[in-house]
Amino acid sequence: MTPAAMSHDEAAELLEAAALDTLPADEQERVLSHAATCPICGPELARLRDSVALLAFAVPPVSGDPARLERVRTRLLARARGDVAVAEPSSHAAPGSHDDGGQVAAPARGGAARDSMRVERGRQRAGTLAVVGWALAAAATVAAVVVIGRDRERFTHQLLVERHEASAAVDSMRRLLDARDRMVAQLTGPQVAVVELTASGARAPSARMFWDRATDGWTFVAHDLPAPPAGRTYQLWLVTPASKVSAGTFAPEPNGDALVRATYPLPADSLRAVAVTEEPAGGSPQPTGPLVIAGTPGNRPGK
Amino acid sequence: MNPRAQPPAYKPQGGDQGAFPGDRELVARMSAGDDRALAQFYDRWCRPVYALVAHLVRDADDAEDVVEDTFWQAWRQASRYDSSRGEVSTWILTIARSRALDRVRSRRRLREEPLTPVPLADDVVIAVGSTTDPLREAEASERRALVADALRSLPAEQRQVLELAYFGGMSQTEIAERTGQPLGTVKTRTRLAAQKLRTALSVLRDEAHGGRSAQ
Repeated sequence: MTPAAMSHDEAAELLEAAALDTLPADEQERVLSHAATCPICGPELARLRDSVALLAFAVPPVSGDPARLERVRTRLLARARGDVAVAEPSSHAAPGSHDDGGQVAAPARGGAARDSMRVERGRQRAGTLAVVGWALAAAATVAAVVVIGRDRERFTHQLLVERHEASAAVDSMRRLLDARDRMVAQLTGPQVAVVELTASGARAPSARMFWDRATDGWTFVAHDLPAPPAGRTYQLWLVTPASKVSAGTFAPEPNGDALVRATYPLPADSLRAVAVTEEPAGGSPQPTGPLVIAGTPGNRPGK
Repeated sequence: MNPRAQPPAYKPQGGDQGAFPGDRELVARMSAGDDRALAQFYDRWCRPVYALVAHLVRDADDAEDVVEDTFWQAWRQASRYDSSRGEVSTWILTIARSRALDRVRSRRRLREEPLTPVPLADDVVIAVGSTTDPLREAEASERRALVADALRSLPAEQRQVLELAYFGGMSQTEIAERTGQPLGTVKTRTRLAAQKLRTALSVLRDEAHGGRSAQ
């Protein structure tokens, strides 16, 4: 069903939200639909989109592992070349495809020598036509073989592309499962210590830190955390006798859940507490803000 | 004839335009099936795309997958690029953001992690570094500074709405729930923030329109 058209004034009010893609799908579609034909909203939406896209450049510079980028490049170009090969047309593979090779003219009939000659000529002509016909049939067969060969080639390319895509999907799923397995191990392994964090208040958040001593892996899980105030963030700390180690800043989901994972080697007996404080956006080198939730290893001894 | 069948041979036209074809030219050649244009386009855009994707998905393996998906989509849909709807930079970065947020949402459905990217302390899997080209790095640094300045110039509550929408992929309703603000307030802040951003970044936008490269 086509959504109802949106007036210019209505659409103009929503261009910014549409550029940020924050509207419900149907409303977004109606704005885009209007902008596609409106000489005012169309260019304005394009300018807003161009500005919003520049936010991508605000992220920290990341070069990643150059081998990764090179690996992606190699795979991408291989797929693209396969794509071009798959799309190659078979326009010259079926030249006419007229099946007239076997249609030979019948010999002329008659009782006289002339007729006999005509018959002979007719036979000769028929023989010639038969040869031509068989040649054309053979040519058509060859053409058909070529067509089949090309089709097989295209089919092979298609299979290769699909196999590659399937393989990539399997690899992706395998990595996902491996990541989940690692996470489960870091929550349930024999070397895992659990620290309960508590807070006071009517709707107090709750949290646990899972410390996998075998891998130095830390997994922090929290519930019922309110959103930090604007310009502020939560920061997780590992408290030792010597220092307070930042394990990262984070913000909870809208439902108050949060999960933070980190790796940090710590001697088995040096953890005194795990704490979360509220800090300025970007975090602090040392805790400065109010304590949100905290716990000590004694709250729940490790296994 | 299938337009992807016979990639046009790329012959530099001489001068800068030939040696450094513009983004639009590359996309046009990609739509004609020229995989060399794809290679050039990838070399030009892979770092900003990777940086954005890595920032959003926070996992190097996932980032690798998403970057490949992004450029594959660009290759397959190059003919659908419409310059009247935005610059090539907008087009490729929008594809990248969309694919990355899809990946994050997919993981969230598996209850693996929250939607909001979580910076980690010591197991940051993405190596932070710079490009090897000092000139490109200087340009990228300047652009980063301009965008950061534009963001900093916004009131905190407008910046928050912008960041939750763009980097968190949240709808206005989700932002209202997240921040505890009325939906009407979120809508107003979204409008003001995007308008100010448009004004503050007009210089960069004009540069992009002039065809400067990504890095």
